[in-house]
Amino acid sequence: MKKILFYILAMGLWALRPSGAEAQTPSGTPAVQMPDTVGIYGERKDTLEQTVFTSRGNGNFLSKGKDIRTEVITAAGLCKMACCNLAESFENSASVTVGYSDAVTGARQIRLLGQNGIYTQMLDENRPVMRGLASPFGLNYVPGQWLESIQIAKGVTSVINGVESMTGQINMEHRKPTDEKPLYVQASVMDDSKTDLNIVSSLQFDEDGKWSTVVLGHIDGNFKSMDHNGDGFMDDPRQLMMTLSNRWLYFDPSGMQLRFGWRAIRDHRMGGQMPAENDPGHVSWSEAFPNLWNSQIFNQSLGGYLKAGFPLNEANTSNVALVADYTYYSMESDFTTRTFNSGQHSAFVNLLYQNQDVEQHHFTLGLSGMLDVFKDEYGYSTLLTGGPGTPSTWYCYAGLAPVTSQVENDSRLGDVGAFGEYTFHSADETTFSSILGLRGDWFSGAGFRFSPRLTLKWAPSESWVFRANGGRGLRYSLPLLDNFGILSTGKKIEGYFMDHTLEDAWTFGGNATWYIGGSSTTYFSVDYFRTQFREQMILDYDVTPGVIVLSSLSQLPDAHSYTNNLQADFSTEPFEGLTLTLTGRWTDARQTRISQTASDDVKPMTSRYKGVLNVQYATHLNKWIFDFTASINGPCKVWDYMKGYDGMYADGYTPAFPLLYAQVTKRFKGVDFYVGGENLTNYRQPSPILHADTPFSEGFDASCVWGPLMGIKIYAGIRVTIWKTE
Amino acid sequence: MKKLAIFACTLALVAVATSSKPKTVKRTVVYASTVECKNCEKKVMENISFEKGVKDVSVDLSDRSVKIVFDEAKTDTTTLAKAIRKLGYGAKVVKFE
Repeated sequence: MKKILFYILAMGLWALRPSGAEAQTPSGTPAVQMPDTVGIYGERKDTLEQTVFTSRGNGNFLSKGKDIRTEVITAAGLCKMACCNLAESFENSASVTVGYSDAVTGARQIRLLGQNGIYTQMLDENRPVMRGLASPFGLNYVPGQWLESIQIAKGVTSVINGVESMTGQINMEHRKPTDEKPLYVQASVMDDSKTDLNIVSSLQFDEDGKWSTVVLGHIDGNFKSMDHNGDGFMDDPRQLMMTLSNRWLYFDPSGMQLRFGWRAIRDHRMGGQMPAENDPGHVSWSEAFPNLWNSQIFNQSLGGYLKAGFPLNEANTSNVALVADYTYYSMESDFTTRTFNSGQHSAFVNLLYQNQDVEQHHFTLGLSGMLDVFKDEYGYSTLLTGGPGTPSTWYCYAGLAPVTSQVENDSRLGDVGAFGEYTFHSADETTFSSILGLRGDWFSGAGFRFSPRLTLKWAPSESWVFRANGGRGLRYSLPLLDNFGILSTGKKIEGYFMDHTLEDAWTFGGNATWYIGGSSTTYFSVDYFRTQFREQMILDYDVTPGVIVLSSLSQLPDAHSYTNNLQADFSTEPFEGLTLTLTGRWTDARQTRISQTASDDVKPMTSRYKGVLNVQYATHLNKWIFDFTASINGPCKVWDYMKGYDGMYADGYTPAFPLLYAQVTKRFKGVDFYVGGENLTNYRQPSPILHADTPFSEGFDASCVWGPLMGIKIYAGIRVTIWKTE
Repeated sequence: MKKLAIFACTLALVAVATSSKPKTVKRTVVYASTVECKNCEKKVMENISFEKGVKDVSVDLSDRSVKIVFDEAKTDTTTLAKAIRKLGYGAKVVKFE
């Protein structure tokens, strides 16, 4: 730990050394100003590339130029709130809804187009990430301050990175090796003791700027236990997470690019019932406090990647690229009455040939492979017969040893595929474009699948853009990881919970955006998307009391599963410095379940609507920035067994609830100070843990979270940027 | 509620702090520079905006120029040119009014 801190500090100090002769081109400009992501895949219009945002005050906007409907969260947007990690970066967005997986582990999950975030492909600069074991906590492990921008694309996207994107794609652009910022430090603290520290150093080495690197370090911790609602459980787990990454770029004037890097993550978190004594010393909580329900999760990961692009001609209209990625991830989790330990080796290889020799006609051909090797151990206690109302001491003091069982499962999930993508642009490159992607994959255990995708964009004038998009998505289900919250219950898990069904969905949709008066900052946009599953893993809490059943959609008679999503966005800048954004989203999610009644196929725990109002005012030259965000989160249907619990959910739905955020930032040369508040209405989900008083009973359930767990939070932070100078 | 009150007080203090400004004598200078990309523009904006006496800054990448409005009582064209050069870009006065 000390060594890591020392290394980061040393890199920062080295960067601050006096530099007499920095890299200069003959024209006198620093040689490090070069295209960044372009060159590996070329200037694709639908993939999500780095953008440099300079004068735009607004942090969120709809991209006018992208062929696919894309919402961009800029670096300014990532500074509007605490945004400690990726999960907290979507509060300004109605497209993405963020919630907790459960009320004890702190795991976050997103929803896009009304579906779980597992159907949204996560990309790190166009490499698939956050897969498998990394998915439950993946959003927590991406520090918001590492990012330069986030792009949220709705619908089915390019086939180049596989077909796991069913509802959309979220691409993260990190701070670049070519950034002229030898040191960036951000630190913040919340009143609940949550503390964040980020250190980023971008360095350019040689005189012609061929080699550059960025070191990204992060530590965050939550050191104090809180129980505001008095249910005996910590509102947020105590945790300590560290992650370190190093990325390199080699850029040759010939156009050849080489990018490689690695990343390590270590996270330890403890949640559950609050012990009277806070520090158990060197023994685990389960040993120190055997009569308390607690969860302990220990995650570690180490991964590396390589991206290489080689031009085949001088104009770089023809090139080949290789992308390779390997990650090892391990999770050890103990939920008192059950354990889940798993290791995952994950590899991804993509080989591409791209040709743009003929203007207006671009095509990409490629081969790719993906392999995930899992070694899972799921252990559970069967001595859970107390039922709701059983005293919590029953389990521990009954003098009976729990009967434990363990299921071990080794699985290899792989697919190899070939793809082709043809792009046509009108002569002016803006009026019309179409992208046809075809991909064939052989999935281990499931055989061959063909996935077509089509994207159309038509911009008849400066004021109007119309888009249409549709295609197929496929992914292996990972039931325990996809539904991580079910481990924080006393319920028995039955069905296909160790199986890996190949989920299959088609998504279609469109978007119309009216740029009022041709302005790019004042617009009104409407989009509609429908996702229809042909195969899906279905979660059901209501088949039998005390049991969670995982079943397969295709095995249910006359089954269906779909979501319809309608969203409207309005954004304007009435005068310099003031930006207003108003967004509304409506979702209709339906799903067949074993337990459903004929007339009620509404998918539980899916919010019906969300509205977001964001106001930002920045004084001239952005010296003061004021941000205010208000959102209203619509009701969602609850599981039947929740009805009437603690006098709640009589109509079967959760209440709608508001959330308010505000932040003030004062900027000086190279230093920003900010202070803000989250959840200013202090709204908390009442009784987020069902039967919290009997945690060893089958009625115990911490997985049914639909609202905030923490009340009002005040935070303060500082950002220090040191720019490269002569 | 207590936290909300503290937060409201902070906002009020911030609002008070932004009020009242002394009168200034504004001059405008345009430098021919070597800025050529969006990153250069960002770097200039993020740094020159906070130089003492600077009231407005804009970068024009099409003709590679930097335009600065400043308070003559607090800074001058030489100091500003030096600040631009320190960032790694050229700065030659082409217009001063």
